[in-house]
Amino acid sequence: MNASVISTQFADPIHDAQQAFRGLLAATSRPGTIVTIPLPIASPAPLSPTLAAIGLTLLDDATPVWLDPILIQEPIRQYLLFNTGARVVTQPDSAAFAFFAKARNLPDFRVFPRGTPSYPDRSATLVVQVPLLAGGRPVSLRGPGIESVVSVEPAGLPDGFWDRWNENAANYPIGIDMILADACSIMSLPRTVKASF
Amino acid sequence: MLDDLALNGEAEEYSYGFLDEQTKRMIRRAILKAVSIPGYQVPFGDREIPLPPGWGTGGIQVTASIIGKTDCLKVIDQGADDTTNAVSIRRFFARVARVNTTESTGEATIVQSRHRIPERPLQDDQILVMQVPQPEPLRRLVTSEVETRKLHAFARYGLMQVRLYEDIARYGNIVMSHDYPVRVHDRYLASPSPVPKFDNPKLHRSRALTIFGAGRERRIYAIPPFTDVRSIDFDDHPFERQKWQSCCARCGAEDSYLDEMLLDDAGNTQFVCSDTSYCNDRLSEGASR
Repeated sequence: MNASVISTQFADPIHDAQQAFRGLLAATSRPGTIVTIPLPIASPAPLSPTLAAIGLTLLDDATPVWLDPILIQEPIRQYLLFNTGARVVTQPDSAAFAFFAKARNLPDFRVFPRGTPSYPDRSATLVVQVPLLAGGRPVSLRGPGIESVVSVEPAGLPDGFWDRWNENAANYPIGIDMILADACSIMSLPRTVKASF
Repeated sequence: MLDDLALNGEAEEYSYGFLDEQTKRMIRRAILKAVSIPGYQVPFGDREIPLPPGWGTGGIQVTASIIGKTDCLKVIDQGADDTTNAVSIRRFFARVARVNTTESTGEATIVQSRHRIPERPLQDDQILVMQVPQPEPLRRLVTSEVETRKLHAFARYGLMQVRLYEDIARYGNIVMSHDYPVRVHDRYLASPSPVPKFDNPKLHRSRALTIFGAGRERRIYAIPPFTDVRSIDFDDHPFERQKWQSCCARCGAEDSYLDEMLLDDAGNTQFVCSDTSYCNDRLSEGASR
């Protein structure tokens, strides 16, 4: 533990977290829209400030976190523990949130909790860093929160990602939810969203 | 009620929005899951609020978890901004969250409501928070939570169709006038909260996000924008809104939900808009009978 861990919260923890949550709420209720959220002053590399902002907003001691092979480092574990109280778990099936520094590290979604027919809310939220939320292959999204159809083009997603996403959506109401993040913005993919490409 | 607490956010460094940060995070996570699974009731940990359960504690906790300094809050009770419950909740948030409040539907970023959905269609940047006494639409038919959870898991909602059919068999039409059940996104059966069924069609593909909070029953559910919300009915008995023979006695509106007002001891009555903001807006725009 050192001073840098302590000094990397939001500049205004209460109101920045509120604004970041409203960004997450706007993004989740309107899938495909790109929303800018407040970022913390700094974050321990390779945890990006956007991922750190989502962690500071949603994590606490009730939300076990799983980190991908790039992120699972002692300074990041300490940062999350000190600033949020969240425990890092090594078993993906016990995680409430999972953080990814690279979308190509995404394993089979079914290794994470997807909820049960009785409790579909007991499912993991996957938070994935991408290089940019624009410039990738265009994909059309449909579902609740989208007026008719919205075209998105997040970059850096692995081949076959959208097929896997549609398999997840086909199991509605059980499934995982996803938040994609680039350097300062987020885009949300709740399980209700179906992609066509 | 709130004066007794002598709360002063700025001076006493009280938690912003009354709830502590840990509680807000828990409720915020529940809200995000609720938006991801439209119509599904997400359990949450209800906290004590300086208001009795049944007076809007669920709605207050949702509002407290989403509200920020730049928000403008409107609170209505039965369509009116000036009833006791609405006034005290508005003053509560003006004090603990230091937000601007309004009585105009168009100006608000968050509208907390009990028993009505505003007549003026809500826009993209607005959030409607509904106070819900009983979030489970099947509760009057099945008392067991274990059983209703199974019915939701398997989407077995025949019981509710039978309930509506019994109305038709007995009275010739569906007499349920408020809290009329809806299917959200063709999946979950949900209660629109005790709004008159006149308001049900406003939920269908609404431009605004709607979040429902039930404090005593510890449930949060949501309807995202542009989501299909179908009031359940039968092919030969389609869903119908309430209709009135007269128009509003103040503004002459023929398209709004009307309350019947008793005028004198002789039993004379007149009808006026239940949504006071809508009625006042129409009057200021020059409408009259």
